[in-house]
This record gives sequence, structure tokens and C-alpha cells, in this order.
Amino acid sequence: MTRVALARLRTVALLVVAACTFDEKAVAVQKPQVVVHAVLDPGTQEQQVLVERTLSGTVDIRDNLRFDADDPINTGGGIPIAGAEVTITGPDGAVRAYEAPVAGRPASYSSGRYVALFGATFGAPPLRRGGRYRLEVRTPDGVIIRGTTVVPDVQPVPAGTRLDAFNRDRDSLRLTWRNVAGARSYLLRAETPFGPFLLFTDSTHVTLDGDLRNYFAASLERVFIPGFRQRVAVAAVDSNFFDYYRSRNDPFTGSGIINRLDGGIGLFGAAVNVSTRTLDVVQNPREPSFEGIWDVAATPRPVAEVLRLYVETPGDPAALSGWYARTRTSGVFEGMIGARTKGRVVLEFLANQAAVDTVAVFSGEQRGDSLVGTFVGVPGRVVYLKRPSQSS
Amino acid sequence: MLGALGALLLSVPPAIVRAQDAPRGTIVGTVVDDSTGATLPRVTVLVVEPTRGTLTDERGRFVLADVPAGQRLLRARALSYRQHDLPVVVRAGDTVVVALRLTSAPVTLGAVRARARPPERDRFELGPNVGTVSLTPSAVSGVPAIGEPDVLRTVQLLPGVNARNDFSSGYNVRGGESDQNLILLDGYPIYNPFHLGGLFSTFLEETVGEIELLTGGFGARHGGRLSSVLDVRSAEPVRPGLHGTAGVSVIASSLSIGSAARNGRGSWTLSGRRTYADKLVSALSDRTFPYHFSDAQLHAARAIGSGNARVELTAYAGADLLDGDFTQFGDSSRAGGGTFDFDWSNRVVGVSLTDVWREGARLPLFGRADSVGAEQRVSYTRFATGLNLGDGALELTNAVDEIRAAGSVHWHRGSRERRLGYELSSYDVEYDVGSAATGTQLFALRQTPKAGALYYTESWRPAARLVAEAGLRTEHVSGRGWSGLSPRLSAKWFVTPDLAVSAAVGQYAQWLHSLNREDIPVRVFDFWVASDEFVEVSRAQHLVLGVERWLGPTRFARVEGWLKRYDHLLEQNTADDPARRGDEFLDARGRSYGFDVMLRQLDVGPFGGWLSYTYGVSEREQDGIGYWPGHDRRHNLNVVGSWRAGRKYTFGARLGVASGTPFTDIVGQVVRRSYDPGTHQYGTGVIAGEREPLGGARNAKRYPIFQRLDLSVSRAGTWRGMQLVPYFSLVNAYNAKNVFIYTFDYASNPPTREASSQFPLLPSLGLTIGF
Repeated sequence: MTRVALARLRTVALLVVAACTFDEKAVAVQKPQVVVHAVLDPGTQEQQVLVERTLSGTVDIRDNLRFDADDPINTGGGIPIAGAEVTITGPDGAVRAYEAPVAGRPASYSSGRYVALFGATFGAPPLRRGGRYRLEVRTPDGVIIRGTTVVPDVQPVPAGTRLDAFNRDRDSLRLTWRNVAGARSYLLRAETPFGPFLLFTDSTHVTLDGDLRNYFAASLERVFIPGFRQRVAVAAVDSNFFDYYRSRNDPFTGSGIINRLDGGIGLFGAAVNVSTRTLDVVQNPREPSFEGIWDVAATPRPVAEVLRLYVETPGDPAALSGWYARTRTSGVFEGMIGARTKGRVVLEFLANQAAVDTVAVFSGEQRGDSLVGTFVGVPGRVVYLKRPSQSS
Repeated sequence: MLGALGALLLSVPPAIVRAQDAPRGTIVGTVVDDSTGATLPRVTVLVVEPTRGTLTDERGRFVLADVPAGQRLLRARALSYRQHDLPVVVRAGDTVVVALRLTSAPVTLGAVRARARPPERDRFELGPNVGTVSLTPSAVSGVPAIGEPDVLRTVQLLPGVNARNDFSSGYNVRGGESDQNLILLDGYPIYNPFHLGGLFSTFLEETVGEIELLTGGFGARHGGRLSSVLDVRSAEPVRPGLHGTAGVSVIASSLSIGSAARNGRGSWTLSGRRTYADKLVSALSDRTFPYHFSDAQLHAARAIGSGNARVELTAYAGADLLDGDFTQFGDSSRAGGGTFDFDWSNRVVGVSLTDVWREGARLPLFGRADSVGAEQRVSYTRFATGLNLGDGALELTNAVDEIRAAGSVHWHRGSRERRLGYELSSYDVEYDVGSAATGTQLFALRQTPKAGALYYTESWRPAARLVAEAGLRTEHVSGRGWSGLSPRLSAKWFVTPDLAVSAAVGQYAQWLHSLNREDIPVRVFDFWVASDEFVEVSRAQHLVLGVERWLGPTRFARVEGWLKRYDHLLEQNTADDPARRGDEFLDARGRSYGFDVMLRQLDVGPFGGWLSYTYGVSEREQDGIGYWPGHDRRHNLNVVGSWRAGRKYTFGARLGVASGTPFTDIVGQVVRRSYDPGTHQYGTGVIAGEREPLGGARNAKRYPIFQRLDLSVSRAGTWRGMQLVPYFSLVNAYNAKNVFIYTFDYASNPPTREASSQFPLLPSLGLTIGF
């Protein structure tokens, strides 16, 4: 985390001077290297190995694709390597991984995502706790990448469906877990709309204040945002995982990543979930006249029929947050963030609880118990009526 | 043993035997300009009959010892000033303190032959002075600068000194790393004397009296750093009554006030500076500018008793504050943002007590002397930095505290000088990274080493044409349990009275190290860690050979070649494990060699300046792999000059041309995939794939040539009794595009590279008011 702080300082310094840029010119295409990401995870029978090339200037990368977890390389700005031979060898023998097809794509489409199936269901040995595994990737060009990891010796904790109410003004979240043999460290990961909050700790417990700030977020937004359902999980990780994710290449020398693979760049590590909580985040009322549940009054095809609004940070501008439901009966709640500036309310309706994944934007103003405005790009006025507070 | 030594040194003054029967006395004083009150260096001061003479030093001070008692006529002479005679009565065994005020007078050159010797000439004649460069405040003020004259920016233009780029706070001396420079304020160490990422030094120009840089082969008096010593001495006012200087520039405002006692036995100066961009932005808009820095400095000196005893106090406090709140930035997308606090500060306070005995003085073991001096110093230095992101979500602190006691006795007889001294330092180094909001301690280091040094130097003239200085410094560092001997030897052979060859060899040790990496061109300040059971003491050996030729009374040329070898150079290990002590540094060794040239015209006439050229090669080796360190600049030329045109206008110019420093070429980009054990997926769509650069061979490429021309002009005038000096400067006058760094984009075909520039054309203006 020291490096996070120092990297932030350097990045700030870099941004200051980057304003004076000149002499942009083409440079030579470089020889690409092979990049492998593979984390053995006993919590799933599908072990994924991502095989791709470094960006070396050979192709234009499309940055405007919507991210797809089943096609993470192509939709995540990478260049997949097709036709690689991927083998994971453990105490019970070798398991071959095969490139996974992507739904809706032709058979010739390469995702670079190789899947090895473990467990009796697939006629293969299970992934053993405490087992030592070797990874070997052979690319069609003849490049061989090898790595070794040891899976932490602990039974994975399933995600579960329990939802815990969490008032960020009043509560703090304390997570404890048992010491795990073979774990180099524990990764705490809290999902937030502004990106995950990550913390490596050697301890077996951690307490998160309700108003904890996320120092990975661009403007240091809080971790817990009212209206959101946020997952907080702890995983026991091996030393490869720990070293790879705690390090980074600095922008000046292009060095810094702790790479334990032979023949390529990346990671062959292991992680096991040891604690998971999902929080329904609320807060004490700030502005009762504004905060609460709003129901759509009149609109032909509303983006959302129900809104739950919070004043996340008072002031002008004030930060807003909450959830929305597309229909009153759906029971599915998505996150929402926004701001109120000089009475003008702008709400961003999110998918996947992610601020970078906005599906609709509402702009309007509060008029008494009404919120009147329009959705950007959608004709017609929308009116929401505030539900009486006792029923919110 | 060191404690016993300290006791010995402290007991020395009473052991000095003073002869009271000789019918002689001492005259001490200062010489100032009668109209401005400015001190006048290099003024000839003499007793007319029997003739005894001397020159005033950089602060306008002089001492005439062994003056026969009785009524004497004291005379002061200087070019462009009327001769001033002052009758004084010298009493046996007593010291007379006088103040001489010279009035300016036109001088017809040719009719007057000035023979005043500048201090540089004294250094040339009296000692080996290898690698020694001194600067006066006027030399600093003649160098064009951003906003206001700056000591360290000027030092960066001297021979053997290399500034990595326009933004870097550090400087490299003769191939050494930038943490290898010992920086002293009135002899007290100061760790990170920089503001705003190195754009400004903490030294206030108005407070500076003299600057001395030792670029290598320095004597046994100094230790603890491998490469250089920069000693900045405070100016002392000589004019009674409250007076001072106010400065307003585009960056900051400063005020310096001071006074001297009417009897000339004391003086004080109090100075302060603060940037005001934050205040301006707040006053003129609803936005905030979250940064400012400030300095405050006090210097006071007073003679005590009836002899030459003197006590001096120096105190400095400076801070940089980069504190902000994203919710105050007026951007609605940041309405829920948090605060960040990033502060760093320096504190120095030191007291010194000095005394000089002349009449029949003697020291045990050393015998009779022409004069004996003793000095005792006590100081406290602190550098601290703190980073707090999001109200305790992530906190980083680093602090170095040093309490130092140092002292020496020095013995003079004829051309021989002996000095015995000691230094005792107690350090307290803290380095903590944690997250109070999660109750997590990520890294914690506390070191409390002690360091002691005992040194002895002897300077003498073995032959009429040979001067030499030998020294031995023994040091011990408790944290490491390290002890070492550092011999130093320098000598100069005069081929002619104006031409001398010199040589110096020495061994040096350093036990405080910076965690910063020399390859990173951005250096806001250093994070310090001390040698301990895991961290080695770095060592270096210097060999310097030089030749110096005086081309006139105020002009000289010097060429020095140097070879330095380093062992246990420590570089931050970016792969260190926070749970493990001892892997914070990687051990390297290396060498540097080259030569530097200085052609200098002292600033005693209308023109002053210098030309410096340095050729240097630095090599490092780590784990059998050789590389050029990031500061390895092969050619570095600086031409600096100021020209006083008449009584009002002063023009300044600096031209810098240098070859590029090495950098690591970026040969691709890698997309980091974040695995989420909760969803068993890579990436969730919340974080887009992060592209990180991939470096090629370390420092195998070099940036293009650097060039920069800076110009300045100032005009001196008076208004209602105040001196007004408005000034205007142009930094990078022809807007040369000097590369700071390259950024690469390998996500496109063809891949591209873009340069970020160093300083663009930067005009600035300001006003200095003297009152």
C-alpha cells in the first residue's frame, strides 16, 4: 500500500507536467511477450487461465467494448492468444485447459480464456487444499511459460445470500477468520460503485469504519454508499497472488511488478474465499424532505419506477446515492449515484453497481414532493412523487 | 570513549593560557556602505603605524590582532569608496569593536590600482581548496530564476553539479546519488531543503550570507555523506536600527528584518516567506488551490564577555502543505469525495558558542599558538512528512530527528593549523504506513541509532611551494555496529604564484539513506532510513587531481579530474516484502569519473559570472549487471553572468547545454487482470483493464540534448528613502523543448511516443524593497 501512496504522488506529478506535451511520433513495433493470469480457486470447479500478448503496437485496441467476464481479454483491452496448450499439474495428475467459446461468437473467435475443469463431475481430480500445482502454457509460437503455486489449505466459504443491514453512520464492519496454512496474506475486497477497495493484511481480523474512504477511488469516495448492496469478502492468498497484486510497474521505468512466472509475465497463484458478507447499506437521514422513496407518477416507459434517494454528502453540490427498481414488483435493486447542484438533480442509473456502467441519466429538480425532469436521450417528462416518510 | 572526548573538548577553553602582559590589543569590526548599510566584503582595513592590514570577509567583518596598544589610526580603503580614517585607542589585552562606514566616490581607473584580494584568492594561496566553490548572495541574485533568486538552483549550475531535470529537487555531484549531499544551514544539517517538488529551496535569499560547496575530496571535518557538502551561512546585519527587505514575486512574498547592536557586538535577522496562490484563488473565486509553502528563519549573534567569545542562534521552520478536499473543488462529480493531506516540513534549531584566544595562547599537547579557537555546537534537526488519504484510510509518515552535538578546537601557528573535533548524533527514524480506518498497520519501522565521529586535521606548508592538509576521521554507528576509519589527504603545489596543481584522496561513509530511486525523475523529497543490522553503511573513495590558474586578481580557471568508487550503494528494492526486515534495499557498487572546468570572473566589478563544464561518467553494478544510473549526464555546460550597467540596471543571463540523461525505454504495455475470488472472475467491469508500461533494458536509452537560456533584468532605484528593485526574468527564453519524460502508447498501430516538456517559457517579475 506504500506503493499505492507513492504511485499516487508520482501520478499527480506526472499529470502536472503531462500538460506540456509535444513531439508525438510513431515508434517501432516491439516484440510481444506472453501474459498469463491464472488463479487457482477451490471455490469453483472452473479454473481459468487467461493467455494474451502484451500490447506492442501491432493492432489497434478497442476501448469502447462493454466488459464481458466470459471474454475478459477482448473486452478488456487485450490481445488473446489462441491455440495455446495449457496444462495444470497437481498431486493427482495433470488437467488440460481448453479455450472457452464465447456465446454469440463464431467458433473461430478466440477469447484467450482457457478453462480447466476440476472435480469428479468432470471426470477429473478435485483441486486439493494445500496442494502444489504447476502451470505450463505453450503458445503456438513455441513460447513456454511455467509457474508454480500452493493452494491455501482451507475450505472455501460460499458467497451465500444473506443480506446484512449496515448503517454506515452507526456501524462498523468487523470480519474475522481463521489462520490458514499456506496463506501468505489475506485480501480484503469490498465492492463499491467507484471500484473495489482492496487491502492486504497479515492479520486474521479487520474492522472497517462505516465512513471509510476508498483510497483507490479517483476522488476518495467512501467505501460504503447508502442504497447499495455491497459485498465484502476476504480471501486467503498465496505468495504469488500477494506479490503480483501488491506491486505495479511505475510509469517511468516500466518495472516493479513482482513476476514469478518463467517465460512470460503475469501470475499463477491461488486464492480461497474465507469470509463473505453482503451489506445493505443505509445511513441516518440527512434531509428528510428529499431523502426517501420516490414512485414514478407518469411516464410512458420509465427507466425506473421506484427510486430510493439518499443525500450521501450534504452541501452544494451534494452527492446523492440510492437504489432504483425498474418495476415496483421486480424485487431487483440496482445502484444509483448523482449530484444536486443549485437545486438541479442529476442521477446516474447504474448497472452492476458500477459508476463506470451507467445505463441512464436523469436530470431534473425537486418541486415540493415531486421530482420533475427527463431522462437524457429519452423524450418526455418524468415525474416522481415522494412516498410519505412513514412508509419509506 | 566519545563521551570522554567530548568532556575533553569542553574542558579545553579553561586550559588555554592567556598571556596578559603583552602590550597589545585587538580591533574587530565591520565595514558597511554608508548609504545602503550593506556590508562590504574585501575591503582593505589597516592600522597605519605600525602597519598591519587585513581584508573584510563576506560579511564585511575583520579582525586585526596583535595591534600595539595606544592611539592608532585605522584606515579602510575600497575601490569606488572614499578612504575612511578612524582614530582608535587600543588597550593592552583588550578588544576594540568599531564600525566603519564608507561613502561611495567615483574612481578613475588607471589612477587607482586596487589590490584587494578576494576570499577565493586566499583559499587558493592558503590551502589545497580542492573542489571548493563559494558563492556570494550577489552571485545568486544575478542568476535568472523563476519568481525569485534561489540558492540551490544556482548551486546546480556549478561545475561537477548536475540537476536531473527542471523539476527535480535533488542534485548530483560528480556522479554521486542525490542523497549523498550533506546540506548545512550555519553548519547544522538540514535534510530536504526543497519546496514545491524542488522548484525552490528553503533558503531565503535575504538571509544568505555565504555559500560554500565542496564537490569532492573534502576534509575530515565533514562526514556522513559520500559526495558533497553544501554549507549555507546566514547573513548578519551590521546596520543599527530596524531595517530589512521585502520581496514580492509571482510565487511568494517575503519579509526580512534585522538589526545590529550599535556597539557592533550583536545582530539579529528574522525572515519569513509564504506563497499565496491559495489565498488568491480563494479570494478571487469559489475554487480552492490546496497548496502553499512557508518558511521562517531566525539568526541571532552576540558577543559575550570582553574577549572574542560569541554565541549564535539559528532557527528555521518550513513546511509544504498540500491539503485538499475533493468536495471543495466545485466539481459535482466529486461531491462525495474525501480529503487528502500531504505535508512535509523541516525544522532546524542550533546554538553555537565560539571563542578565539590570541595573545600567547597555547593548547596542551599542541603547544604555543598564534591563536586558538574553540567551538561548541548543539542542534536539533527534523524532517517529517505525512500523507493521509481519506481521513485515515491510508496514512504514511516518515520522520527523521537528529540531535547533534559537535565541537572542535583549532590551533594556529604560522602556516600550521590543527583541528581536533567530534560529532555525536542521535537519530530517531520513523517510517509508518497504516490505515487507521481499518485498524491495519501495513509497515512500521523505528530506528534510533547513534553515530559518533572523532576527527583530526592538520594543515601545514612543508615547503614554500607546497601546502597540505591531512586528516583522519573515525566513525561509529551504533545501529549497524559499524566502525570505520576515513583518512583524508590533500595537497597543492604552486608551480608559480598564480598556478598550482592539487590532489586529494579520501574515504567517506554514509549511514542515512534515501528510499527514493535514482531512476525515477520525479523526486519530491527523500524518505530516509538509517543503517542498521540489515542496512549497510555506504562507502566511497575519492581521488581528485586539479590545476588552478589565476588569470588576474578576480579571475581564475580551474580544472579538476575525479575518480570515485562506491561500495554498498543502496537502492530501494521495489519487491521488498513489507512483513520482512532487511530487504528494503538492493546493494550496488559503482564508480564515477570525469573532469570539470570552471572559468570564473568574481562579481567584484560590473561583470561577474562563470563558465562551468563537466564531463562525467557514472557506472553502477547490481547482481553482476551493469547500468548507467539515471543521473549519468556526460556533458554539462553552464554559462552564467551578470552585468551591472551603470548604477541602476543589472542584467543576468544563464545558458545551459547538456547531453541527455539515461532512461529505460518502454517496449510495450501489459494489461493487469484483477481476479476476484468472490465472483471467480477476472475483472468485474468496475475496473477497466489497467495498462502498465513494460520497461526494456535499464537506462539503455538517453534523452535528447538539454538547452535553456534564462535572462533577467533589474533596476535599482529609491523612493521615499526606500530602495526599490523591480526585476523581470525569462526562464527558457526561447522556449526550448527539453524532454522531461516520454510516454508511450502501444494500444495503437503504429505505436506512438509523446514527450512531456520541462520548463516552458516562463516569464516572471517581482519587486524587492529595501528599507
